Amino acid sequence: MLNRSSAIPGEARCVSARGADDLVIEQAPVSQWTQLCVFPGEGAAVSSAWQSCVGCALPESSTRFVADGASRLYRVAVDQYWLRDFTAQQIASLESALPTESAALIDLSDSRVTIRVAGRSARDILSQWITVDLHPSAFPVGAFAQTGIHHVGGLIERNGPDDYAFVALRTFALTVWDALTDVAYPFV
Amino acid sequence: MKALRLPVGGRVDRSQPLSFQLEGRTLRGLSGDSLASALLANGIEVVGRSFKYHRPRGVLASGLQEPNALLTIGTDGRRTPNIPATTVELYDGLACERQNGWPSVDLDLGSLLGLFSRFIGAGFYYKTFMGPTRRAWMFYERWIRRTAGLGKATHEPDPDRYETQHHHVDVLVVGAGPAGLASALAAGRAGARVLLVDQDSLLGGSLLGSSVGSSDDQCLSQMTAQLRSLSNVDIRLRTTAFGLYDGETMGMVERHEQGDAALGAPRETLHIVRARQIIYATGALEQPLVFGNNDRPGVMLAESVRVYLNRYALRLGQKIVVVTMNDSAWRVAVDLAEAGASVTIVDGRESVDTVWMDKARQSHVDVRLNAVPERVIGSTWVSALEIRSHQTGQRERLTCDLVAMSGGWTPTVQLTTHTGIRSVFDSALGVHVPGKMPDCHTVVGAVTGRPLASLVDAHRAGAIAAGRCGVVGDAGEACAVAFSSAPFMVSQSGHAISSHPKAFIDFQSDVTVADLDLSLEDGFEAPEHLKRYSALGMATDQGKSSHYNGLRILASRRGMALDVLGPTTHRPPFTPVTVGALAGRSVGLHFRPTRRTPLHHWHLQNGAHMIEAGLWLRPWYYEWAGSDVGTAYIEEMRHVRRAVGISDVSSLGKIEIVGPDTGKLLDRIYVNNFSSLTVGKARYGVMLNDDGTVLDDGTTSRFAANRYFMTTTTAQAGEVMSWIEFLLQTAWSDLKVHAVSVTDRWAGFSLAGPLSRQVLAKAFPEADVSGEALPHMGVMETQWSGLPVRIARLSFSGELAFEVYVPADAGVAMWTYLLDVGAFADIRPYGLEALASLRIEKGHVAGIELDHRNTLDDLGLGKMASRVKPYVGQVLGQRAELKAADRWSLIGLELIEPTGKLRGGAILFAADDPIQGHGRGYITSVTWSTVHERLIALALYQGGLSHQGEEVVCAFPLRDEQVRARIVSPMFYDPSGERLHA
Repeated sequence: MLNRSSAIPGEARCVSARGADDLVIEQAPVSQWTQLCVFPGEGAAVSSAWQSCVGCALPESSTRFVADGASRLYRVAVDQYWLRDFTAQQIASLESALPTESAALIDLSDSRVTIRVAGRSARDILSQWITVDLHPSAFPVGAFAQTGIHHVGGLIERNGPDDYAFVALRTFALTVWDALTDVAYPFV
Repeated sequence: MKALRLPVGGRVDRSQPLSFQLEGRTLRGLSGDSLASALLANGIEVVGRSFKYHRPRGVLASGLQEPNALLTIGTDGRRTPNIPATTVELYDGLACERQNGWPSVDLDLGSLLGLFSRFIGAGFYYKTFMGPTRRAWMFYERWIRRTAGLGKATHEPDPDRYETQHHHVDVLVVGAGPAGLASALAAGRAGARVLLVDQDSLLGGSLLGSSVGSSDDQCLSQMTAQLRSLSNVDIRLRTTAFGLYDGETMGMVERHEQGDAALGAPRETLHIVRARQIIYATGALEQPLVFGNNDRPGVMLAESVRVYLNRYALRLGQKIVVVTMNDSAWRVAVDLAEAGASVTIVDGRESVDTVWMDKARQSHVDVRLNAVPERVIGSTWVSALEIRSHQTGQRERLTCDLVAMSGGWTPTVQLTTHTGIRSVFDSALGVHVPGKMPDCHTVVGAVTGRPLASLVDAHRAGAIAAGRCGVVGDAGEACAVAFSSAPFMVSQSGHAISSHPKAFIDFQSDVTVADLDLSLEDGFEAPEHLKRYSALGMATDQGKSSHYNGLRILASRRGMALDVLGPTTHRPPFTPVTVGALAGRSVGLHFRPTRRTPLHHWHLQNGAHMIEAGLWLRPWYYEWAGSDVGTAYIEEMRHVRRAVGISDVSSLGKIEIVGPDTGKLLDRIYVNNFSSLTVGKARYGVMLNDDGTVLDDGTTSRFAANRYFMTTTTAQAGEVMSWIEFLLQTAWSDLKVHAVSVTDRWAGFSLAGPLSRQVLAKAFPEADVSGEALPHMGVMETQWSGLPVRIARLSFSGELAFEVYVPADAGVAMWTYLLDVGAFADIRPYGLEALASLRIEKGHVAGIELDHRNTLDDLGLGKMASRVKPYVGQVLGQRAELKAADRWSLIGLELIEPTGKLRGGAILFAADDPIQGHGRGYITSVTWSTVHERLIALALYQGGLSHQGEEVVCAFPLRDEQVRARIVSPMFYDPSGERLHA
């Protein structure tokens, strides 16, 4: 069995002295990431191929992700989508369904580390680094935004009322982890 | 001084006594005291010495405009100088020192400088102390700086935490005085997300100057209770809004309660607030009057005297003279009289509203109209005030132990001007008020310049602001209170300008009326020039108690109206901000982000010494090769040349480029052709900036018809990625290409040395890595444990070498696997120093030569440029200056002296040149050559290799070294490429 190593060594879990309901910061399970690239002028062709293969339309919103079971879809740019935890079978069918003149899939697995920040104090912790308005009225469950923590670009998403995840570049993941756990110091 | 702590009243808690230290003396105060009120309660008259003349100074104000009572607070690493005692909440154990006195503030020898004050007037350092020699000023300056100035900061590390917090709100209300409270309450009731901030520790602003139990105080209690019941209203006290920035972004600093820091809480928090609507309820600041010795301890701002009375229960004198030109000081006189003081009010106006005359009479206040203050008598505390009648010119000396002065009020407009909206002069009021604000900014209360008669306008402003955010709940009614005693703004047109030599305009910068006159004589007539010449308004208080008087007197002297002169520009911060607050958590290990390769922890656990390379941490050298870099990298180089080494090159930029037009893109950005690159091959390429200088080099491999894999230098990875995206989004948006950074996706290793192929063959027995199947610049994909592996036969070292890429999470597994299977070949890791040195021997350029100043020809790469296709940088690269024969171009250097060193950065001179100036070039990279057993270098030299064989002098002025070297080909190792192609 191949031993895969994490960018964040050790337990990678930090819990508030008042319990996980108050605050927990932890590395989330590894995800498979794939980027869908749509070439100029090929949006209609790609949408059609996507619809026939996946059974739903590509999202228009670039602030809400689409969840289907374990898999998620994010529109991260006008012509770019991130596919998270699509099965190998789904990816294979997409590769065969998408015309090579219209789109391409790029495997980004291993390039991202997801850090979960949850609990009553999660928003306070995140807002020490993140400039996005995380108030439920502006950033409800299902929202995502591309932002940064400590000058490191990444994606923040809300998975529950007090449940967020920050998706960081792998090579910066330990910096992000250190930054988050550092501001959580008064809690632990 | 006869300060009396009243037995009842005030907002201090008499049941909670506190003790604090002043220069080692233990003093006592009460919970609720400010440091200033506690000092006054303890009879401390002199709270510091003035900046230039070392004059004794006492507390002037009760708020953030305090220019005199600047103390050093705290000890050791927490020692912070120049803190206004009026803004410091007293806490148990507080330690403070007064400033700028030697041997002590009470007995300061520096005060002798006052005898020479005529020699150190405004701008003296531009005119005096200039002789007898040109260096004389350097001598004097040291002593002048020693005698001038304020407190000294500590050199010890700050032990406290500072944090940063981002906020997004519908309505931000700055200032929690009556108007701010009303606005916040209305916006909050309507349902908006409201943030209310105030620099004070209590809500109320000017209402805190009212006596407890008064109608004003009841109004405050009512609004406070209602506000605190609203969950959508966030109230931040001890929080100063210091700067307004673009996008309705307000910078604020919150000072946390002392003692919490020891428990791990931050000392200060920097709040960055993005608001949809901002309401400024910043109030107004009372201004001093300008008369002789108006800086004497015991001369205070009138409203501040009232604050000390009603908030801190301190009656600061028994026999008090109130001098004024406006109504607001009359309420001070009445309150003081009702508290038992003997009060005389001196008003420069001929008549005063009968309401006030009646109140004064009822309170037994002695009234002198149509008279102005001339000078204060007293040394370390006021003992009398000399006044002069306007009508008769007669002078009268009023014995007193406190002078309370009011020169009118100026709206606190600073924040409203930070984004460029200049304040405008209101001739009716005689002061500057906020200019025309955009819809998302509103001013309410005293900052508008209008008396606050009721809370209706402020309440309405809050409701409107909420409505502009789309929040239209019921804002309710304004608190029904009538402010009958709030005549804020005045014109000082009737106020004569004192001719006394010590009539101070700016207390903190020690600027007098005479200094202002001297500045005018010297030709500095504009407010901005006057400010810089005399230092008026330039101190830590930024002219909060001097700017207005300075402008007024300047206008008078020049015979101009105030509106013509205009104010000087207000810039953030409104009040001083600590560096700690600005830095937040970006200190120490968190000073900047760090980038780590997937092998990072393996390196640490296996004897690597790391080095910063940009944001990356990379292995510098390994302990197996030596205990210091000087010996280790040479041993690592030797090992690569004779056996095989493995190096972590995960930091190389890696870009996946896909799409049917990828060939077109690469042809345009590289100087050489890539569309002809066949699948399974890699090609070295160079790209230019559009000005024709070299941007970066690297290899690009073709793994499928529409799929390429580009590697860039570590240093330029981000720049190349941005450059490609920029071109695709602007110039060539029609190309069907996507470029995606996969630097984080792949771990990469360089396997270099004559035994590298054998190691690779053993590691991937199912793959054919023979010279025929995988020739130089060949690439292939294979699998390992079900994971994709990319192998490219590329060489940076000049040896037979391969680059191996695996998914990042498998990086450590693959690395250790290669070490295991390569044990037969004695494979060893090598670090960045050896990696870079091997490339110098081979003559490869790298980041230090690719500095955006050199052309292809400069670097010996001109032959790569295509003559049949256009590429970025081609046209501008043909400019005559970039084609000149005497440009500095790449050469090799070998040391020809038995001792001495070649050093990076050394300046190169021809053998018979004088050693001066910028020379004919410089050394870019140096290493010990394990092949030639001597120091070699790459350099840029005028005329380049046309001078091959000549001697040069390498001068290193920093060490006063000069050594001789010979110009040789930069390719020191295997110039025919036999080892590379083995």
